[in-house]
Formats: sequence, structure tokens, C-alpha cells
Amino acid sequence: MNPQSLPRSRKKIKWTPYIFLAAPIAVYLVFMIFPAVYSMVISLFYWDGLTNERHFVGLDNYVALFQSDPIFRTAVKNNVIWAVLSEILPICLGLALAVLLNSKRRGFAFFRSCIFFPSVLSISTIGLIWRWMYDPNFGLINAMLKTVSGGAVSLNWQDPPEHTIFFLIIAGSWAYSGLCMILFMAGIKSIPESTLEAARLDGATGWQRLIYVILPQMKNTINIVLTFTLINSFKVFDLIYVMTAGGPARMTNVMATWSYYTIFRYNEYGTGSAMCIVLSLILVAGSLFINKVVRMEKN
Amino acid sequence: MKNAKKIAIYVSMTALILIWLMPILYLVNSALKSPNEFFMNGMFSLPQEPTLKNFGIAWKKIKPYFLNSLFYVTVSVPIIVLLSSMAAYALSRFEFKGKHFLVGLLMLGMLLPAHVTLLPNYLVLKSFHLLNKPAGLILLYVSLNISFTFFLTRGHFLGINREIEEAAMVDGCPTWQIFFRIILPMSVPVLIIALVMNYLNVWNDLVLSIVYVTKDEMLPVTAGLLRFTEEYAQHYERMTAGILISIIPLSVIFIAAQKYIVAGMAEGALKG
Repeated sequence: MNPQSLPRSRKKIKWTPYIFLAAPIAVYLVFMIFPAVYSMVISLFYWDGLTNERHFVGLDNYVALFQSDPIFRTAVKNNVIWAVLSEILPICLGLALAVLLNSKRRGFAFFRSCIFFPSVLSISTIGLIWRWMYDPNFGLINAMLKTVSGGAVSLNWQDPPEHTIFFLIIAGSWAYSGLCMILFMAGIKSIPESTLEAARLDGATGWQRLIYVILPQMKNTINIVLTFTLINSFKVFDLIYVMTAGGPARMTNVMATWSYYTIFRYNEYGTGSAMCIVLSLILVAGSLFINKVVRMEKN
Repeated sequence: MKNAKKIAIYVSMTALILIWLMPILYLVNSALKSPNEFFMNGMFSLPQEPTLKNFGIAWKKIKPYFLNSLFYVTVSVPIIVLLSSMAAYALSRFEFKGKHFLVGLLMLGMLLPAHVTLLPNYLVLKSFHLLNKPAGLILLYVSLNISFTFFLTRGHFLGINREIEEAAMVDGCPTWQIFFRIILPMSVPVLIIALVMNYLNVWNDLVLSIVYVTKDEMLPVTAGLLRFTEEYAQHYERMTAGILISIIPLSVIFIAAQKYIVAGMAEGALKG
């Protein structure tokens, strides 16, 4: 090897990472990090978006959110309801399906694919499908209710508006349970066969194996799925935008939809940005906190 | 006895699947009916004379949206995967100042909601006259998906045995060749996962297209379908046919790449 080439290649290595990083980091900084910082700045101003005139108002936008915006309060409440119910409904369903369908029997792979399939569809398609299911005149759910009750009972999912959010959560759960099932299935697969076999030989019934062997061994997976679900439930937007657009009576808004409407429909740039910052803080702080707890548990 | 149990299992599983997929089956049932039949017979009735006419009408309307989505996906997904794996290579193989800071910065992109970027990006694109331009939309698809793809590929790169690379480096092979000729070919499975996941992410995106696209002829299929269903809100048979058409490409991808989708979604959840 030519001894002179060594120093030159050393020098090259110093620059190489920056050449590889230049394009991706540039795009990322300009369209992701800069906007996040810029949002923070906008949130400190009163700005109606129509003119370039802005007034610095400090933290007033934030104060106003919590003191004089009832819809924002509804939105936070809905986010919490969404988070709590998504921790229960799709996760229990997913776990049950994972246990039920975890079999090497012929055809079960197909059954699993069928359950998982809705998780691949876009959320806006899911929203349209369920809007059709709930349709008061032609939807399947109403048709069934009417047939069963002889026309006496019918259901309007938008009345009262306070309950509409639950119908949305059911639609979301349908799409999300399949993914939970897949994640739990991976957890079950990681349990050593010998452990299950030992339990079987000791005479444990199916239920006992589930409660005393499978669930404790899956603690890690369950933790991950719970965290993932929690974070995602604060990001929900598409389903609500498609199914109700935040209505009726603005009662089904969450933080993401309400900030969107505040900015792009009502042109209140300052307040809307403040909402986005609150949402971001919840997500970042929440994730860091959960990470820390998980790490502490591991030690 | 054993046979009876087996039959019972399969019958109950089939029933479960039928109930689970009922929303989609009901959609098919509605889309096959003629407009009149809709109002004459009850909702439950199977179509008396199944017709595919609704699909034809719906397809005509949805086709342009469809082609738009196809274009956005085809252009942005390879860029996302290439840029992310370049960053992943730099941040998994080299030691330099600010490395950990950059990794942390990229982590932030996975935590932040897209909503915090909507308004500033709107103002930026507007001032560069990139609203209603494919280039603007594609740039945003790239920036929003870099973080996730970066962590997916970096995790894999860190696990690759470095002997081959080191041998190549000693032989004077330039770094970009090591990247393209050694690292990428050794990472094909994870790159496929990255491609499939980004395909789904970009194809299924709604929020970017409603904020940055107002021209009807530029809408991707998610936002286009919403326009379509508004237009045909009274023509249930066409509306349902339209929804079904939009499901088809995803079904194809799902059948072809289920293994990678399952792996990718599991990976995404673990990293989140």
C-alpha cells in the first residue's frame, strides 16, 4: 500500500459523515425543526393571519386557552377519553385475538390476516366506512337495530353530541385491534416453548396457562403496546376530521383537530400555535417520562 | 369427537372473521346494488341483479386522484429511504462532534406531532410559491418520514458485521462505494420494510394534502375520496363503490408484502 495515501484518506474520513448528512439534515431542519421553533414564536403573538400585523402578547394565548376556550377544554377531555378507552378496548380485543388465533392449525394464518387487514387501510377510509355503518338511514347498525326491534329502536350516532366521541373510538378500535394482535403475537412467540410445555405437564388448564405463564412473560410487550397506544391517541386527527369534522356542536374535537380548525378555518394563528405547542409538550414530556420509568424498572 | 371439536373451532372462527369484516362486506353488498334497489328492498337484502356499473362511474372520478397518489408515492418514498439511510450510515459508522446531538434531534421528529409544523410550513411554502405544487408536498413527505426511517435503518446498520467494510476500506475503497456496494445490499430486508412502511404512510396521508393542496386536480386519493363522497352523498351505491376502489391498491400491497408490513409495524411500535 502506498504510505502516502494514508493521511489523505484520514482527512477524507473527517469530511465524509457531513457529506452523507448534508441533504437529509437540511430537509429535516428546514421542514421539521425550524417549523417547530417557529410555531413556538407564533404562539407568543396575536396574529389574525390576514395581514402581516402581529402583536407580541407573551403567554396570553396560553392563558386564554385554559381560561376562556371551552372547546379546548372539551378537546383535552376527549383526548384523555380517547387515550383511556384505547388502552382498554383495542388492547383487550387484540390480546384476546392473539391468544385465540395463535395456532399452527391450517387456515389460522388466513384468519389472522383478515383481522389485521383493517390496520393497513388509511384512517380516512376507515372513517368513511364507519360513517356508512352508522348512517341513520342506510347504515348496517341501524338496519339491524330496526329489524331486531321491529322498527321501534333506532340510533342516531350524532345525538346527543356528547356521546358521538364513543362511536368514533369504536371505529378507531376496529382498525387498531389488528395491529395490537400482531404485536402481542410477537410477544407470545418469544416465550420459550419449554416454559409452556412445563406448565402443560404440570396440568395447567388453558386459562391458568394464560394468567400465570403467558401474561407475566409478556409484561414487556404489554408495556410497549400501552406506551405506543397512549402516544398515538394524542395524535389522532384523520378519523375525526373525516367522520365528524369536530362536530356536532364541536363536541368531538381533540387537540389536533381543534388546533387545525383554529388556524386554518378561524385564522387565529397565535392561539392555534399555542395549542400545537401544548400538544407537543405533552407528547415529548410524556415519552421522556415513560422512557425514564421503563429504564428505572430495568435497573 | 375430535372431528366435531375441529368443526366447531373452524365454524366459530369463520363466524368471527365474518363479523369482523362485516363493515367491508356490507360495503361490497351496497356497491353491487342498482340505485333503485337501494330504496326498494331493505338494507340487508343481497343485490338482486349485481352490477359493476357503480365501480365504472366511481373509477372515472377517482382515477386522477389515484394517479396523483401514485406519483407522490413513487417520487417521495425512494428519496425518503435513500436520505434516511445516508444519515443512518453517517451516524452509525463515524465519530465526530455533535453526533449524539444529531441523533437526539432526529428522535424529536418521531415524538412531535405533524400539527406543530403545519402552519409554519404553510407560510414557508407560500413564500416560495410551493403551495399546490407537487414539489412542496413531496418535500414535506420526506421531512416527516425521515426520523422514523432513520431509526429503522440505523438499528440495522449498527448490527452489521464490520469486517467486510474494514477490509474494503483498507483496500482504498471510497466511502460512498462502501455505502452503495456493501451496506445497502446487506440491508435489503430492512430496506424493503422501510419502503413498504413509507409507501403506506405517504399513500394514507390526509393532513398534508388538505393543508397544502387546494386544487382538485392535484389531490391524492385520500383527500380526493372525501371530495368524491361529498359529491355523491346521495348516491350511496357510487359512494360505497368509490371507497372500495380506494382500498384495492392497499389490499394488493398487503397480500404481496404482509410479512414486511407486520415486521415494520412491530418495529415502529417498539421504537416509539
